Amino acid sequence: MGTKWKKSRAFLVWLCFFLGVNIFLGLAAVAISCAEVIVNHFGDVMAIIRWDVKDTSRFKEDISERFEYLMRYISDTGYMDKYVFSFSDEGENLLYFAENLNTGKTIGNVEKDSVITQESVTGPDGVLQTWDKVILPEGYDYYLYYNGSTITVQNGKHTVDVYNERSGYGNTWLRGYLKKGEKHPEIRILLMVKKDIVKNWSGVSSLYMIWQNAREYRMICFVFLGLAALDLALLLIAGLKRQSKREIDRALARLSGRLWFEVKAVASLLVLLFVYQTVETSGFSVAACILILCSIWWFYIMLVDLLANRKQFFTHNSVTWLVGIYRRYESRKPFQKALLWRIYALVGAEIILVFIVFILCASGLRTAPYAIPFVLGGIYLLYLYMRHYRKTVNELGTIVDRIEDMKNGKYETHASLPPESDLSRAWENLELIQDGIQKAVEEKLRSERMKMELITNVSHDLKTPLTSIISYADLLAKEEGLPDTARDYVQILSKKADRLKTLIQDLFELSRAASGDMVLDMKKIDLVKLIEQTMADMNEQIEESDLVFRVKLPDSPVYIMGDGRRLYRVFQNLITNALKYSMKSSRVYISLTAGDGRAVAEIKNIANYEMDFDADEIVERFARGDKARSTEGSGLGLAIARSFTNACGGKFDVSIDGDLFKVTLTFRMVENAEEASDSVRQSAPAEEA
Amino acid sequence: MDKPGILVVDDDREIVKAISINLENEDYRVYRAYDGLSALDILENNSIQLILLDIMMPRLDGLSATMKIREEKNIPIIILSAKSEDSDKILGLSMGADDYVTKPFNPMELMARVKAQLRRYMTLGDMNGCEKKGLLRTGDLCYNPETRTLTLMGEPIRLTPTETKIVELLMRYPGRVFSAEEIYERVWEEPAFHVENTVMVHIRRIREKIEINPREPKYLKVVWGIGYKMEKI
Repeated sequence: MGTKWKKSRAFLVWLCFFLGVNIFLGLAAVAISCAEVIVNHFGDVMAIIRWDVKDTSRFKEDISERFEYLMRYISDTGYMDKYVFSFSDEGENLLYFAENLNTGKTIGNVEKDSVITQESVTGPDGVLQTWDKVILPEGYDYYLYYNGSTITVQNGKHTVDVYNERSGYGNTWLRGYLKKGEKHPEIRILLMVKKDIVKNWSGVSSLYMIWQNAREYRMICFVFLGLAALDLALLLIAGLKRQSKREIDRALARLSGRLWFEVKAVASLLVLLFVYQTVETSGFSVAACILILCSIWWFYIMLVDLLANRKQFFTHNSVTWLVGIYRRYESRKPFQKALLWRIYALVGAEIILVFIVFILCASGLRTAPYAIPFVLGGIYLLYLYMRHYRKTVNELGTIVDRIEDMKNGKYETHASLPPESDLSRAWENLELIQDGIQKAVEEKLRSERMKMELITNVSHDLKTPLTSIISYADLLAKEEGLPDTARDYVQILSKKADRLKTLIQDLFELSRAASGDMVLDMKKIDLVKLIEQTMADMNEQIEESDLVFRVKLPDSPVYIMGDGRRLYRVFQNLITNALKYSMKSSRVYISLTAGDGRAVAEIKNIANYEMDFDADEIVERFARGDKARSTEGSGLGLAIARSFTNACGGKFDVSIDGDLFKVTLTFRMVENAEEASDSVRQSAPAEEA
Repeated sequence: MDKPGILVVDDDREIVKAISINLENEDYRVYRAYDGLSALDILENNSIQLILLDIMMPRLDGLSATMKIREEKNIPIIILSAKSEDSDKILGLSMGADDYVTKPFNPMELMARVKAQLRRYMTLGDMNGCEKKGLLRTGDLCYNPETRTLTLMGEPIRLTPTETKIVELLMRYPGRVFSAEEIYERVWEEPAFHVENTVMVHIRRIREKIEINPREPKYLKVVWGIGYKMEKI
């Protein structure tokens, strides 16, 4: 109901607009065609509108003419009897009276005494002034009186100053009598006109005809003004409710938008041609005017269509329609086939067009112009293809970029492909794949974190009973009088308890490092010094072993950002590892090289067992080189080393080449702000024994 | 003087028992509590000179108990906890604890720490005469440059001449980090040439003499990748 009302209201508003414009155009046409008349007779128009017929020029001319007849008749300056006697045709509309005081000739249909009285007044200078006063009978409101020297005109309540140029009497027969000096002192003429002029049944009253005509003109004026007011109101409504009007405009645009551009162009041309021809042959007849109006509305619709549909106004044409049909067909094919098909279709279409153009041109000059639309169509088709090709290339680029981003771990994107794109399927699939990956990664992270939390809690809970075990093993060891075997057992207990302690501590630290919430104390440290300190710290173990350490460090400090304590643990673990798993009497190589903004530390040793495992595998938690977990240590050494290295921003790589076990640590160097130490350092074996 | 009273608080009875045995062997009066509230209760009614306190306990945890105790008493408090993070240690010490021992601990080390805290508490005030002018002090360490003697809580530490020189250098600037080369050139008065090992050996020996647990030093610390320093306490 509501929408229906809304719709009909919109339609009404639009109708207002439609009528308003039509009326306006009609009125404008009338106004332009009558412009000269209106401008020249503006006073009459105003008089008619005021309904003051006795102020119109027609009336003034008529009454002046009668005055002239009476003048001539009464002064015997011409044969006027016929004219003067025709005054009776006016009936009661006109009362007149004229007399010549010299000849005593009088004429009129009214007694002089009943309408003219003498009036006199004594002026301030004491001279008595006398004049004739006209008394209008009941029902009469106009008189023109000549008293021998001056003309007095009374119209309604006010006296008309006939001597004023603007009174309109100057252009009539009265002109001569208005001049000063031109006097006929013996003549008295009086003309009186009825207020409401009526039809005279016994004759043809020309005054009545004037009255009638004025009435008609007045009617026309009122209709014109009324129409103008109505038009103004209509246009005002349309202007105020232009939103509603636009709805209909849009509906019109939709309707007209369905037409092809060619149809609209041809129709517009035809409309113009038709109007031109009609005007040419029949001038501005009513039919021509209606035709012009129709053509105006046709172009209005075109304009609305153009404004609403913009580019579509042009792009919705037979070529795009054909292309659309083709593309619907093509969209059922896989992308790569569709791409090929598109080229074939283009080439085919162009060949056909060239063929048509060729035939049209070849068959003579008369048909040659008809080739132009086909040439244009061909060019347009090429343009469409190029545009679409560019779009496809862009979309391919978007997808390639997206894949690149996904590779780099950037999953969020603002880019998207329009759903009508050829590649939207591919894009959607890519999104799905990415979602899958993201979910998997999140899942993995979550489970990793849960695992770490579990380890943290477990290692925590393990510590309490372990405290008791260590404490009581210690108490037991202090117990006196134990048999030697028992003392041995206690020894083993303590040792294993200590190992358990290390294991738990390592596990705990590793879990913290791997879960990423380890607090680091990042400082600028000298990696050369760190390795030297670590070596010095572990000197005893190194000397106890039968291994030879070949250490090659740069002469100048190598600064990196790192947590010294953690990196010490890294090198300690790596050296411990080398000590534990190196072949007897072999050499362990430790080197540090700096360059290209990187510090690379390498630790190489020859394994004392066959390394039948992957380089990655060894770093995994609990992996042990020999796979037999019998010796001391937690088996977490490499895992901790890697976690700590990564936490400090370094790279940890393990490589295995036959029996050669190599760990490479890579760090980013920081600016070498301080002066390099001037003490000369040389590569030398760490052990001094 | 009476035997010092020590309160052991932990919700694990076996741990309390083990610690108590060790303490009784050392001839201390031992009181036992298994939660925070009863610990406060015992503290109220007995003469106690030191508390060993677990953190995770039912009825008032160790940290809250520490704060409560600190409101009126300044007896030494050693926290025993399975929490080994640096942040946990900092929290415990800032709450008013004097020492923080992580579980599982070495019973011998714990005893050493108890002794150290007790000695410090009992002789509080005159601080083994280290307030004297010209003496270098950090924590319980006191070095007399005139007599070239180092004392730890009043007890003299025997050092070799080189160790003495190193200690003097580091004690003069507590908190400052010295590189191995710097220490070598100042102490040996020779140009340094690949000296990391030599300096480290001496540092380790000094540590063994002054630290309760040389692997977790309190005073003489290695600043990895930079050098060595005497902690300013």
